[in-house]
Amino acid sequence: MSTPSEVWSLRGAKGGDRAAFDELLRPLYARAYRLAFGILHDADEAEDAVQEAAFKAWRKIGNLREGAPLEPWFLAVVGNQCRTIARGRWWSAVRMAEPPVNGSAVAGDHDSGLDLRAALRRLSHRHRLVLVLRYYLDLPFEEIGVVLGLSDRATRSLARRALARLKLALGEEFL
Amino acid sequence: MDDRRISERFRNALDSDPHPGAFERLQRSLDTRAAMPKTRPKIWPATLAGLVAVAVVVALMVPRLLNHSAVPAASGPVVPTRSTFGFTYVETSSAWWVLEHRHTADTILFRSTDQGRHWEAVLSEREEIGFPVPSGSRLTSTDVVLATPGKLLRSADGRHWTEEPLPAGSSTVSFLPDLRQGWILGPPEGFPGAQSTQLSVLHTVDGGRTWSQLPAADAAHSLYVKAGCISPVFFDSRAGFCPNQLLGPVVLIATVRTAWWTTADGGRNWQPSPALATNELLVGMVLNGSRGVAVTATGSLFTGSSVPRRLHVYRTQDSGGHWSNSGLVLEAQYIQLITTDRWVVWTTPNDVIRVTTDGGRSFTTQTLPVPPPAATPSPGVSTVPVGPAGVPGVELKPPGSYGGAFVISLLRFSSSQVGIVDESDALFVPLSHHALLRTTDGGLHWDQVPLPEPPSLSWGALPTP
Repeated sequence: MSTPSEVWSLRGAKGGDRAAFDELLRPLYARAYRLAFGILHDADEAEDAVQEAAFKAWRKIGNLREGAPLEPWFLAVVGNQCRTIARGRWWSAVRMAEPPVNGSAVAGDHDSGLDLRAALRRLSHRHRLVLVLRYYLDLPFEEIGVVLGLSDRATRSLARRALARLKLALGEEFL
Repeated sequence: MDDRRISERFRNALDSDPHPGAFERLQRSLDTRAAMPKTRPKIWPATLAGLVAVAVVVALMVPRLLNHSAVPAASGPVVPTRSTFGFTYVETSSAWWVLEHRHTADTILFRSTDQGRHWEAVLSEREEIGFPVPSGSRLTSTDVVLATPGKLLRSADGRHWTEEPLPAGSSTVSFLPDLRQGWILGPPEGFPGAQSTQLSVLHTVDGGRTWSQLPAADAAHSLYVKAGCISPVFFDSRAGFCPNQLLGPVVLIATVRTAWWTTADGGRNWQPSPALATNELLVGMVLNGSRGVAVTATGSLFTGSSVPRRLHVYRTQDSGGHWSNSGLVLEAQYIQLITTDRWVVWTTPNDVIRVTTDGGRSFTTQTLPVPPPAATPSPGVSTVPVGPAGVPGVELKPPGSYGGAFVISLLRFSSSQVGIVDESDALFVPLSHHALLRTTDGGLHWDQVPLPEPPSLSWGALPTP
């Protein structure tokens, strides 16, 4: 539920008040950026994605119902923007890792999270998105469902499948 | 492993904060892009019923008044789809389209065999379906191989499907046009003895039923792993090419370089060719006998940005043996080459489509119509009045008033006359839907094509062969 201040800012933003829109967006920025980074794994691309999403959100803010939570809506815009970026690739990308050096790469990859990133990149956008929303942004399934446009049941089902897929991609026992 | 530990691991792997000043840069970006929010007119209860009635009447009358080409009536309610995964023509009349079902998150495969006029749901899968076959260009309307995570789906008639397991985590699959010989990039986990981060290449000669790992000395292995060519395209059973657009290691997207590899023996041996070596990204290519056109792009590799890319046009007269820069530069997000002379260029944010029929010497501009809103309102967004079975409500607009309200997801022409656009309201997520627009006059007029509901929402099992 939105606070009175947010409702007021939303009214202003719908009326074309950029400062009001900025006030709405500012507290969401860091999470939106982390969502984009979690999907794209590139800081510059993530910043670009959020910037582009903000522009689209500004154009479409009139569609948001008064009192409706802004964050899931904006995260959905960011998620779609990341997907557009990924889909725009003419080719199917497989990001190649450096060969291991003296057999030390496995432990190093695990410690630095490279193995998890690599495994995430092998997942589909949907699987990656639901996992990042759930386990990186710590959103409840109800909100994830709003972001994804899915029912609660479908969201939980999708998350289960994505986690199973991640486990396969990681090939580890402890995830 | 519980959720808390998984979250901890995600935070360790992905932890990243915005650069200093990032939000201020965003503000400046918005400042420089002169645009105002689109406002939605308030609808008072007293006028609501009248507007709905008017909308229904308008919806019934507009197609007649506009005298568009006939569109068959919907055979059922529009599928509440969430997003499109893939969309491809396999020949002039046949096309495949993959959508995600909003309520089940299943992916549904639709097929059309009449130039996109009618669509039939032929497969429903719990996993995402991909198009592994190179460009889909050699498929027929029936014989097809698809990939989902962990398995290949094969059909000889588009209705009955068999499945073959794939190594866990394997990714890109390429097949020769006969759909029997193919290659797949695999992760190291499924292959004992492989180095931990070394990708593997597997080969099949029986359509994916069995796979064998290629030795590192094999030419195809070198092509895939060392040269980074992961999507070879075959013209026929012997001749093919592979634009190498990955440099590896890790992610060096910004320094992409297009190289040109060719084969004349069905992919057993590959030769690097300097014919089209450029530091730009190859975004399109069409060959017609000895004549050909290739388009490369500078700047961002992605079409997601509103900033147009600079597209450079190259031509060949000897089937790709030599290429010359034509000097033609286009600013656009997307280009589809239908023939060597007919191209469709798409420019955002106004979603203007320009078409040339003379190889880029002249262009005509076309504007897409806006589709009606979806019939399924959800919490968190405004609702719009709609009539029965998704009959458009007050937001119905006549063709020509596109205005950037919707997002063009995919655009494909199967011939110089017949094309299909997939439009989605990608921002208005809970009301997200997909409108399939079709043209039969080269893009001058567009009509919406309805989709049938799948046979049942629980129709997830593969039919037995």
